[in-house]
Amino acid sequence: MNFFEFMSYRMGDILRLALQHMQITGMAVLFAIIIGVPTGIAISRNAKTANIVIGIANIFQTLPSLALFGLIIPILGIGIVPSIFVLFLYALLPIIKNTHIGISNVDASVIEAGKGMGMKVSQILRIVELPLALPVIMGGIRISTVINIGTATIAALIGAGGLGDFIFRGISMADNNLILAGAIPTAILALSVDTILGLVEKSITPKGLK
Amino acid sequence: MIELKNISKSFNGQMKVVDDLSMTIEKGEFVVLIGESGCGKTTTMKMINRLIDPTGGKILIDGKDIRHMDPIALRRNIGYVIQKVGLLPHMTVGQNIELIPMLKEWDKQKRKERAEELLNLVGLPPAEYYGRYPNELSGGQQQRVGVARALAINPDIILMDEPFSALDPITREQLQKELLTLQDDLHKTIVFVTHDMDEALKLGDKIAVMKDGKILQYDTPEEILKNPKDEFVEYFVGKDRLWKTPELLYAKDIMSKKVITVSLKRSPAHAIEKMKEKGVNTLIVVDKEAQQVQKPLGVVTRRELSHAVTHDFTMQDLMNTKFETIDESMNMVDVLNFMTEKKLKNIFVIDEQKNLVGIITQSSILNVITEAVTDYEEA
Amino acid sequence: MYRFIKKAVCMTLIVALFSIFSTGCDQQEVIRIGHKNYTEQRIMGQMFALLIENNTNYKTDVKEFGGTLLVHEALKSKKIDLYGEFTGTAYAAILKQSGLTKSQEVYEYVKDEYKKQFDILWLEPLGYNNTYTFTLKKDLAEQLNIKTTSDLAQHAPNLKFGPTHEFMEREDGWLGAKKVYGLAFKEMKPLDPGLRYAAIKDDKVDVIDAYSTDGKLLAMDLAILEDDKQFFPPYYVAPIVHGNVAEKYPDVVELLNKLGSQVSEEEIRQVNYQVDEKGMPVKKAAEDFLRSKGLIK
Repeated sequence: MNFFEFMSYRMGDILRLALQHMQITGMAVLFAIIIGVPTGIAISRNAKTANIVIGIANIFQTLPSLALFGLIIPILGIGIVPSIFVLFLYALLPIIKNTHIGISNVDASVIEAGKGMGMKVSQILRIVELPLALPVIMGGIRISTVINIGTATIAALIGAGGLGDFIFRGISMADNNLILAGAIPTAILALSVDTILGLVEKSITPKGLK
Repeated sequence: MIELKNISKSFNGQMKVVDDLSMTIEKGEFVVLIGESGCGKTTTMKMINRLIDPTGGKILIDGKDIRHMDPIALRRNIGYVIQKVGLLPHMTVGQNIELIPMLKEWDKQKRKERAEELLNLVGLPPAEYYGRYPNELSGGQQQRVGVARALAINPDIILMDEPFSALDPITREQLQKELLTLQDDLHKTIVFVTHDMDEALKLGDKIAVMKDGKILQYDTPEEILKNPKDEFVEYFVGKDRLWKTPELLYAKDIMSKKVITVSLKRSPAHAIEKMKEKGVNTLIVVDKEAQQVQKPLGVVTRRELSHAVTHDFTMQDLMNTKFETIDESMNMVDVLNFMTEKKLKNIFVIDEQKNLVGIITQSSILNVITEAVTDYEEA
Repeated sequence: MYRFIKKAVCMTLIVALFSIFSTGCDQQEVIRIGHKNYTEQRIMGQMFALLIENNTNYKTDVKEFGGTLLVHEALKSKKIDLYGEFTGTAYAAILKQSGLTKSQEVYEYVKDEYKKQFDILWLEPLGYNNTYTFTLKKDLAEQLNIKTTSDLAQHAPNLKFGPTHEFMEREDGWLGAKKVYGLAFKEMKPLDPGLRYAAIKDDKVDVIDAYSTDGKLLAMDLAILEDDKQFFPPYYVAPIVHGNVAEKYPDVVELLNKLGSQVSEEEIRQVNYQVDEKGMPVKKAAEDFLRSKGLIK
């Protein structure tokens, strides 16, 4: 069976697994945004905590996924929950880091002017810092999402399915068709998400900054 | 009126940045804080809108202690202009000016009208500039918008932190001029921080020279120039400063007070003797020599006298009554123009009571200039 | 600068001479052994190496590979001289065949095909059968009175299954077994081979697949279910050697054949258990085993 025959033969499975894959990645990145963006904002007020928090997020990034899975099985079990959790940890760093950089790099004079004119801290954040940092934050979300789509293949190791299922079956069976049936849709998914988020990033860049 | 009463500021218990400083800024006054970097001038200014809170003393605005005011409300009633302008780059010129009106929930129409009015005021036609983004403007244009923004809700007080320092000299001069014109119309209370003495002299009604968190001298530009309180102020003003601003040099500053007078009744021989004795060629004829206060009546020169020694004339007969006097407060530029115009070699300086106080001759002008040049070279 | 170049040239010459000299030696004396990346394979690799080093003058070089495909490719392209392979893996994964279930038939088939296709020789099987088995915790098995795979099929709709990806994909694994036994689990979540033990330990899954020789079965007190319909084909494991090597080193072939039928399923499970659960170094475990069999001194 050649690769294309194989793909069409398994198309149903591929679509099902791709959908799972997107769900897992989407949830992980969503949680990482919900936690990471406020964290990134909070730490840009204080250089010391910034180093500590980014250091911790950095460590998350280096933890081997299998070891993490092994550790959290007793707590989170198997399936979609632990895989979202682990992918969430991996997704945090780029989002926290870019938010931190985006907020910290807002021209100090703009903030001083805002403050001096009588803008509240919350107004400065909403009207000045966030809009100016948004392209950078979005860049972080984009990097995080694209990396996560690749990394999400490990979800298959803990029973959450996704395109990694095919890849791991293929590896254990020495079956290139199977590996490619997992890898190619993963790559297509990553590239198209990258393109879409790239367009989003462009569209939210304020006109005055282009 | 802004009153700073014994205010001090130290950061983290370190050395005092502002040290027991007191000053009063009258309503409608343009006050410049000047000093070298680190002298506490910016800190002092920022305490007025509570960007920084003093560690000691208090600040009153129109008699009210600002500690008890909401800092946000306080700042919204004080215009704020900074060196780097700080326009929001993602908003148009119009949106930038309307920012605080918007936060104060003015209605849209009113906001826009105000922004357009202000743009006209700072010389940026709204039709062209209202919808532009800051990065499409030159530095000077950006700062015009910065000034317009500070005026948006028509505050009584405006704080300006080195607003023109980053601009090129030509633009800077132009904006300084326009600011003065603006101030003539608006009569805001302006606190202006700079390290540039030329700018301070040009703009300030009063100048506060600061060093190490203290005010060394708080005076009008003229006083600062002419009577620097101590060596630092003198050094900071620069001895050559006067010559850079000849409009601030008056007749009384360049005249010679060595006025040799002769009484109406005196003989030519006596007058010549006096000329020899004092080493002058001109005598001023007055009523009585001995008097302290005198009004000039005429002039006699050695040449005129030399023909008349043998005759029995008195000064009254010989003096030339066609002479010019100028007021002691006439500035140097006008004095020189006047002398050139009238082709005068010398000119009398009188005070408000028309009393003679001095004489300006070509040689006296030369003396003043020589002195200045020598000082300049020594410095 | 000139002196530097001279120095560099000298060094290069020395290194070049040295490497020519040393590779010349290697090709004469070193037997290159491969194995896959899990315990039983590592033990096998060390067994072969120890056997050769203790009974000949050859040196050995043991290399680990990341999976079947990689080690197979290495042998095929003569990057290594030999490794231990399962007949079932060769039959299903390499030759992509299915149908045969008798272990001897499978062995004969792969032996012929390997010779024909790759010029690789299958030597004497080590003796033990390795086969798939469904397994679950002994107390659960007792509680539900599950002894055979047919018993399991009855309870499957209430049980969670955490297989490996490989098992899911294999005709001689899940794909065949579900048909033969009519298995349908409540939930099926393919897991990493290592993680599936963690999962069953914490009762996140009830049933997993396992190799019958796996030391974990002993360590975790798991029940091995009888394959009452004889579905899972029993697989031999045997050293496989490239044709060239066999020609060049007939003594090595002879030596490896001495391992034939020396290892029982129980014994290999014990050795696996010693390494995986007791932390014994692989080499020591292999050495102890060979010594106990009198194959080395």
